[in-house]
Parts: sequence; C-alpha cells; structure tokens
Amino acid sequence: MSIEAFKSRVLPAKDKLYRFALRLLKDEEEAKDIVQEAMIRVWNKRAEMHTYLNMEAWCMRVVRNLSLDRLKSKQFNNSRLDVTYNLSAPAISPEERTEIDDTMENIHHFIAKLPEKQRQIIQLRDIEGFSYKEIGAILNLDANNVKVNLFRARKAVRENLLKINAYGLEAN
Amino acid sequence: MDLKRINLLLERYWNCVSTVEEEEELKAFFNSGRVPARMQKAAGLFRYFAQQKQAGLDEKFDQAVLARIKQEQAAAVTNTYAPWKNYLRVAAVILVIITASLVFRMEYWEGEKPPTLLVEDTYKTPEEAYAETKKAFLLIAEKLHTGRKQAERIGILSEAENKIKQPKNIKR
Repeated sequence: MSIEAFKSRVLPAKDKLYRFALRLLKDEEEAKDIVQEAMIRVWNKRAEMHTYLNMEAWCMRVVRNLSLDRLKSKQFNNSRLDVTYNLSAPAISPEERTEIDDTMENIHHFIAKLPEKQRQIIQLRDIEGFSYKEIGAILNLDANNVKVNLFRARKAVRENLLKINAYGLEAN
Repeated sequence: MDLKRINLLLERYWNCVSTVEEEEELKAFFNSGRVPARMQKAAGLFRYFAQQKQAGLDEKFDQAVLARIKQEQAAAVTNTYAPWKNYLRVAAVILVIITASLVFRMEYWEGEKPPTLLVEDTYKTPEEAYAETKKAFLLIAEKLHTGRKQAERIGILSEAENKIKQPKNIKR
C-alpha cells in the first residue's frame, strides 16, 4: 500500500478509532497515543492488508487490542470512570437543555460503568453504527454473542433511564 | 415525523431488532429539536450518541502519523540493505578461504615438481659452442694481456716508491 492509499483508506478512520480508544481508556491523551500506535502498526503490516476485507474493522481491532494491553499494563484505576464530560448539544430551548443535558451526562457515566464488552458494543453499534457482523470481526465474537451483549447493555441503559425518568419512557 | 413510526422504531431498538438505518433515523429524529416532552429521556440517549460521535482528532495528528511513517520508511530502507551486507561478509570470507587454498595448493604442488634448468642451451651443435667458447677465452686472454702491461707500469712505480722509502739503497 502506498502512502497515498494509506491517507485515503486508513487516516480517515482516525476519529472512529480515537472514540473507541477513548471509550476504553477514558483518557484523551492515552487514546490519541494508542490510535497513533495503531496507525503505525497498520502501516507496518500493510503487506497483509489484502487478507482483511474490512480495513476499518481491522484498524478497530488493532486499537482495541492495544487499548486492552495498555489497560492491563497500567492497571488503570477506577478514578478514570469519571471522565470529564463535555456538552455540545444542538440548538434546543433552555428548559429542554437542562433536562436533556442532565440525562446525557447521566447516560455517559452509566455507560462508563457497564461491563467492558457491553461498553465496547454500545460504542461500536449505537455511536459508530457498525453492523453486528463487523462488531463480531472487531471483537472476535460471533454475531449472536454481539446481539446478546447489546441486548443486555440496552436493557441496562433503558432501566437506568426509567429510574431517572419522571414521565418519559414508560409511554414507549 | 410520524410519532407512531418513532415509537415502533424505539420498540425495535430496545429489542435489538432494528437495522443500522432505522437507528440512524431515530438519531436524526431526536436531534431535530422537535421532540415531544414525554420523549425527552429517549432524546437524551440518542442525542448523547450523536454528540459522542463529534469527538475526533485534528490535522496535527495526521502530520504526526505521516512523520512517523516517514521515519519507519527510512528505517525500513536500512533494514532491507542489512541482509545484503551480511551476504557480502559471507562472500568475503569464502573469497579469503578460496585464495588461501589456492596459494597453499600452488606452494605444495610446485614443491613436488622437478627443478627447472637454470641455464638453457644457447647453441645447436657442440662445434659451434666450442668455437664460441674458444673465441671468448681468446678475448679474455687478450684483455688480460693488456691488463698485465698496465700492471707492469704500476710495478715500476711501486719499485720506485720502495726505493724512496729505503734511502740506504740509493747510491750516492
């Protein structure tokens, strides 16, 4: 693969890779580091690239493995669970803003406390929009296993929402 | 948007039977800003997903990665030449061994051969050789004779010198 192909096929995935690493490591600098490392690794293994049908899924997998290694080696402590949460919600009325912002912040901290696998699957499906098959390829799981874990994660999120909810989701 | 459809999609979402496209539709609806009050919490969830997708890496990151790739490429160039250099070393050793064995063989085998004649025959027949030898001796004799004449003159000189050194012999 030429440097041009790398620029057009691998580099554009940087944001997805970064968000995934951030979800796992909960540290912006660490996540950036890991993505850079992953990109270099992908570049060095570019000869094997044709064996991977989905370049993005392969990159995600590299990021995941590197992130988990980093977590293991550094033994990240639980204080990182409360990662800073930056609000940048779209234009909504001030009253709505407070309520929705509260909900969003609550969801953020709730997802951060989900089991590792569920957290990864929520990130890959609900935020990045990967298919079950792609998620299976990234996490080395079969599609059914992905679906079961996603179901558990969404169920937990829904229950949490109902808990903090005064009058909303019951209707759905 | 049709709220019935949104409710249906939400139900499909919680049961993990919705497609990626349907989930995108939910995200689009809840981020549109025209969300009924009773759906605020679900809106919080889908706005959270959309908001989390905004995080990313800047141009500086690309530059850092590309700079590192250049480094890797430079390192790779020296790496590919290294084995070639090793072969050169091996070749040099083989060359030394071959040269040494050749020299040894030459020395050894030469020693076994009969010594070659130092002087070769100059003339074809003995008569010719005899005539030439005779001519050579005559030349030597002639030159020797000339030499003797000169030597006799020196003899006179030395005689005179002796007489001077021994004054007794001088007749008064």
